[in-house]
Amino acid sequence: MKTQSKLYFYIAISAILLVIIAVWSLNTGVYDFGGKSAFEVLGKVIQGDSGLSLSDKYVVWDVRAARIIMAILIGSMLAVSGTGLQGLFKNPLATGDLIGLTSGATLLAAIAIVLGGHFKEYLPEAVQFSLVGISAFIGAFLSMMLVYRISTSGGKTNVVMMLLSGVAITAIGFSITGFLIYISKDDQLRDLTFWNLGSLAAATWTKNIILTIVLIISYIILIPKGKALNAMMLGEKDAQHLGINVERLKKQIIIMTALMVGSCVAFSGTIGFVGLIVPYILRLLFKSNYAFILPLSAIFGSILLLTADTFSRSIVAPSELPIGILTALMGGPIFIAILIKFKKSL
Amino acid sequence: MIKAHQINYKHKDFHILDSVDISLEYGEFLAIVGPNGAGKSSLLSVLANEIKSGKQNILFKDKPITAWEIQELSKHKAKFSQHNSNDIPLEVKDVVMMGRYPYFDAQPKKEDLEAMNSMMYETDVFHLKDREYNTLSGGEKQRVHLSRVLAQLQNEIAHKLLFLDEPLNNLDVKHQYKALEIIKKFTQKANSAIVVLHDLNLAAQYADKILLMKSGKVSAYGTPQEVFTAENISEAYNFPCTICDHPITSNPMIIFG
Amino acid sequence: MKKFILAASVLVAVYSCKKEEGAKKENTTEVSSETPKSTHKIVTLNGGITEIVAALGHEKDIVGTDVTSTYPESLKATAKDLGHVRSMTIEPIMAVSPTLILASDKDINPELMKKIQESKIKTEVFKQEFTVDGTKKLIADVAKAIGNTDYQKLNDKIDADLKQVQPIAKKPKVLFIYARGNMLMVSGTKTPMDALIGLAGGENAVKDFEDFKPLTPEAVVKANPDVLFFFTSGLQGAGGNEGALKMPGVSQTNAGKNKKIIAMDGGLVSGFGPRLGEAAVGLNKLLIENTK
Repeated sequence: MKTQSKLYFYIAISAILLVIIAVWSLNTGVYDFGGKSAFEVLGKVIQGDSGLSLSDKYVVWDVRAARIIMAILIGSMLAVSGTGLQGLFKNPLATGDLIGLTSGATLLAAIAIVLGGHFKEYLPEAVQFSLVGISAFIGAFLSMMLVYRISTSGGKTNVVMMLLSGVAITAIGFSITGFLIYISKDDQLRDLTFWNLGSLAAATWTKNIILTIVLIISYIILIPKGKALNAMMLGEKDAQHLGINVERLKKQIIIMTALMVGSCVAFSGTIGFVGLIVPYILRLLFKSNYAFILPLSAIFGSILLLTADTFSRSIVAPSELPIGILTALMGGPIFIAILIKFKKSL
Repeated sequence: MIKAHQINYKHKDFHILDSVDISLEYGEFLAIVGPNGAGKSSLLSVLANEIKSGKQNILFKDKPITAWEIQELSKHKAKFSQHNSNDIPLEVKDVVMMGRYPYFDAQPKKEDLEAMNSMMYETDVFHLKDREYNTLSGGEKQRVHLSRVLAQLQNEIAHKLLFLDEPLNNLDVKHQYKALEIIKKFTQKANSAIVVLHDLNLAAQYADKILLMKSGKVSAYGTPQEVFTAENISEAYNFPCTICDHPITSNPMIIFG
Repeated sequence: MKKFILAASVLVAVYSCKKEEGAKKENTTEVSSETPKSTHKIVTLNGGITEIVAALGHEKDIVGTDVTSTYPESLKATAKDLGHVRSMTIEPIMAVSPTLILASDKDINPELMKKIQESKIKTEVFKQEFTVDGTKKLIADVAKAIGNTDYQKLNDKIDADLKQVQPIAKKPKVLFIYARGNMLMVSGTKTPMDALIGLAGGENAVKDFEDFKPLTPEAVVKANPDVLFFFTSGLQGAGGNEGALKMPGVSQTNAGKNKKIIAMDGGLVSGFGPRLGEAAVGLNKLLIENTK
């Protein structure tokens, strides 16, 4: 019987793994710190060493460290949102990108960027971020409601409908966003195309603070729900008999995943497949026990995205491989593996 | 213990349940029987507070069932559903442990493990506890859920209520009797059970009261002796039958045809 | 078991990466101890700007350029190619320790711009206008930024070259096609190619839209150019003259029927730097040849 102490054990070793990878990532990059390791320089930054060159400090702190933290935050939230959605829809293919949440978020955020471009000079940066973030959240939320309404009835999910509504939303998002790109002026156009690519290069500490707040709020509500998601596998009625407030649980998952997906899309563009890869791998180890895979996906998502991002900026240095390519490289085969398993059970 | 008055449950214009009255005391084993489409499962669902069927007030332990706090209620009543999920990617013991969810937050306590294990013994699935649920046969899965539901009510609370919707489907004879024995033992400890059954003879043997339904209405209600008459049954089932006395137990024995 | 393998492979990866880092560091320290220190270390993120800085005699000061900075070719040996400004990140720029970054306001990724500004490295962003005066102003501005006042001769050269442009009696209609892979775009007005065509004595066959738009056969036929104009690399990639003639709509145009196809080096055409005059003269000669 897997107990809580076993969970803590796994969390501990994953956390250690994450730290190791973070140190590796910190030391990776084309910038030369003149003989010192990036890690030493970071130490000096934290101690407030005034003898540090501005460039060194800038690269270690504002470029690498900020980016590493953003990868950790976004990777974690993308994985948890995927796991949560899979618990809600009772299907391993339910993830933010496959069911259209990221497209919906991208669409509304694109609209916000184009409109906001007109007011750019009058608004402080934090407000600009918030507007895009809020639009992304609303976009994710609306897509969520649409998919949920179309694909579930009586608590049962029609998987095909779920995925197809994702396809439909993605198509709508793609066309409208494409249209916006087509008609927009130079500045807005640049903002849109770059941000659409999916990249952690634009990490800043301001964004990280906002992401951390979103993460803390969502996790306080969602992470303890592992048990409840297990009960949902029995069916909504039976889960209710076990004392789980099913309607409240569904609302919480819907709102929190929309919030997380929206924030991630707002700050890093579309990075796909994390919500698919992480729960899949965890299920191989722990089966579908959400009491384990929900909290563990929070750490493994970070590990995955941080590793992918570090590779993306070291494989073809000084250039960067778009991170979406790496996640798709892993995600594609996993998608197929899930489909094959699904076919066997038909 | 549970009282419901004039339950109406409609789907569009069709009365699935029509003016059903029901009342159950402590220690009673009530069997709901009737032909297909009579509304047995729906009645069970309404009583178990699964379906909100309009204005009726179902009184559970003299308190409206909607006034109960969900988690507290789950320690007093449990329901075994007719259609159980075929795909739960967990081990058997994890599924049974779910029955104890109302009792612990993150870490199951000793009594939860004990309840889980003893109920697995009772339904004869203990030897399957480390198996993957999805690899079990239909009957085995059924027994796993039975032990889960029983484990849910293993506690010190008095006067608990068990709802069971066709718990004997897919079970072989030995396990059918075993299940009924468990339910009977349960009711003999001042708890109650409402069970939807298809086999009238088993109902006759084990139940204290019978509710015979047809087309959403109560056709007959009373002890097995009172309800199981040839007229009642052939009228409800639209099929000829004869009643005689069971050679050993002297309960009514129904023979169709 | 699986977790153990995962953890072990990560540790191996970390260790081998550390080793690589160590080796790389050794290389870079060796190189930097050999080259002499100069007063400026300049990163130029635009082809035209790169040419200006080189023409002003500061080629050795350039430590990094963007991918479009192809001239002078000797830069390949001394300056690092930092990639395309659309996808560049800040770290490679900082890795060459520049004291000055020169960039154009066109095309650059706004996030990269933000990061450059945060890095506190001295940066100048220039507006690029695709006219003769605009180019002269750019030369003057860039010269000022690097502290060199001796730029007049560059402007003079442009004027001298431009004087050699011969007017063409019947202005040929020129259609510039940007060919890359399967993507074909045509240049409307307000592009460097449009301006250059005008300077070279031709006229843009397309007048009814700005900027680049995807090629459509109808637009091509309507424009009915006398000459098709490509980048050398683009034409080559599209299959040479034969490939060009097969492009949609071309066969119905004067250019297609008369097989009048010309190409010039991309950097030369779009740089709009000190070689502007050269470019105009080059294009002018090609146009004259192809409109006899």
